[in-house]
Amino acid sequence: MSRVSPEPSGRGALSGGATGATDRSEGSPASELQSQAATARPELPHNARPAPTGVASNVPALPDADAEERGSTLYSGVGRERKLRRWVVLTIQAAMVTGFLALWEWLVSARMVDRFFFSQPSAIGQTLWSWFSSGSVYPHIGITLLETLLGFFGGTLLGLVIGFILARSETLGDIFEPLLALLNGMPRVVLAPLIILWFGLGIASKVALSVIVVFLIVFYAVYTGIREVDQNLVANARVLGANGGQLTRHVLLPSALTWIFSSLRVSVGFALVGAVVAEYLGSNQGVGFLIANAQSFFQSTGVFAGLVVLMLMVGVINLLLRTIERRFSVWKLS
Amino acid sequence: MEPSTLSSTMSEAAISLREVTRRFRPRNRPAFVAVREVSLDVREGTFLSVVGPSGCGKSTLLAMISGLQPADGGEVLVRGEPVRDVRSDVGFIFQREALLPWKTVLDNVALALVFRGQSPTGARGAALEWIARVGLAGFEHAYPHQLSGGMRKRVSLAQTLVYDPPIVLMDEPFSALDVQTRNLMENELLGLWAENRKTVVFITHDLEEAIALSDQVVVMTASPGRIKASYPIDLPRPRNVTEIRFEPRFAELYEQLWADLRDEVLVSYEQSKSRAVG
Repeated sequence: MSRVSPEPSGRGALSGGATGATDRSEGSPASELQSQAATARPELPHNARPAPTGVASNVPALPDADAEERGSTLYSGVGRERKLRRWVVLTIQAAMVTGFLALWEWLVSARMVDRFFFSQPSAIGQTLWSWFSSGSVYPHIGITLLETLLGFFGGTLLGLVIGFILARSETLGDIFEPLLALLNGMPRVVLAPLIILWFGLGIASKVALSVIVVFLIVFYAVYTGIREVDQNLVANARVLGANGGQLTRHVLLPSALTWIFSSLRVSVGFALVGAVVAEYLGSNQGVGFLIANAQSFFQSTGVFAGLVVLMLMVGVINLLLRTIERRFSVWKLS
Repeated sequence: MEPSTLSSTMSEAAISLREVTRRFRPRNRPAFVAVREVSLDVREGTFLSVVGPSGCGKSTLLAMISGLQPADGGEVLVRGEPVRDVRSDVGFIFQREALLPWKTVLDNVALALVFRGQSPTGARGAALEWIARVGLAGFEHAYPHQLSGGMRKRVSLAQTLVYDPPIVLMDEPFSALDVQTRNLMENELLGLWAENRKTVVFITHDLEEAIALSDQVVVMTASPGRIKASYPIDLPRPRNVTEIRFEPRFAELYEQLWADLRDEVLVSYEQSKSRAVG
């Protein structure tokens, strides 16, 4: 995930806590929760006609090397040329990251930048080393991952069920969809204080925020997926003899699942965001807690180290998702 | 109900339309009549084509026969019974792509049998047989997007014929194919049809295709669609759709039918122009 690294620490230093973390996990210019979700939704209908592909091509997503490969097939000629270009890109990226870190290190050493606020790459590296070598960071990573997973699956399940019901019943859809749109338009981070009040400082509040965030994404994917399902497919299945249940099982659900799938990266990213934001606002464990804790002691080094840990997590998750996407998008339209 | 006992008392019509009317009320646009008081009998075992200018309600006719859309007036009878819901004994091959993109050729073809509660193994066996009959052996595990347009049409054919519906409705099934593939498919369709002579209602805007395939061709008027004329096609069978066009009798029929169709096409063209302006 070398592409993640060029931009990290600078902006993190300025924006500090939670929103900085959001930025990192999505790798897209929009850094606030709500602006991301707002774009996630309206983009979906664009590819409604040709069934959405397994790969989230037009949904804001985690940094995606695929996009680069796909794009380059259009104009770059033979394999050797492509390989060369890839090397050039990688070299420039590595040089930029190294240059940036070196400049940072030097600026701090030369006292042109205040060590107190901006720390120093070497110090951040040392902190990371001690976290990982002592093993003290693993429980925090584990907790954050657990919250993310629970939030992702809980939110997906909830979104699937409610999206399905509202899409199938016109009346219920008319009643509830505008309300959910209202909720969707609101920055969901502001729910975090309430949720922590209700669910406490433990894992429950983190999962709850994560579920809400993921739910809205999946809900809209399913809702549009089923409302916009190709009517030709429905008509054909009915003529072939499908009853209501068979229509759901063979046509509507698979159609909805392809939409869920195309928003997979976004929802996993947001599951992590929900968990970390809630941790940051109030908890005693997790990566978000590490960052908040360091901040409360004015240790910019600890904040940076926490951000790096988050970045690494996003990188690993991203790799896993790509593998899953490749495996499951066998039938995608070319 | 046994169709054979009915046919003796109620004529041999597999499909009869009695003064059928269908209106549409689209949002933000004035309501219009798609089909007005159409009466038509299709005898069992007949290959009947309906030609007409675009927008004349041809597809609506099929939708009403299959039960996908209700008639607003008049009565639609299929094998003697009034149509109230989607009929399971009527096959429908759509103009647009209707295969499930997330299922393989095999699973797409087996679909109707699975819907009818057949065991997966039985359904697959029958599906395999039909895949071979439409010339797609070896492509059982391909997904629709991996096939060409012509191959996808073959899958659609197999998907419908696998459950052996006595009536098959086809809505411009070959209009998206190139000319060569199209002639090939037309010939294969005739071959399959000759085996057990199902009742076929075939919609097309292509007069040549209609004459080459059918026993009877019905010409519809421009919107609102009514039946203008009906011609029996007395060309000998078996036919080769590519070669039959050179027969003198084919040319005669074409001329007669075109004389009827031409005026309607012109009316339809004027309508579409005024609609575009207004």
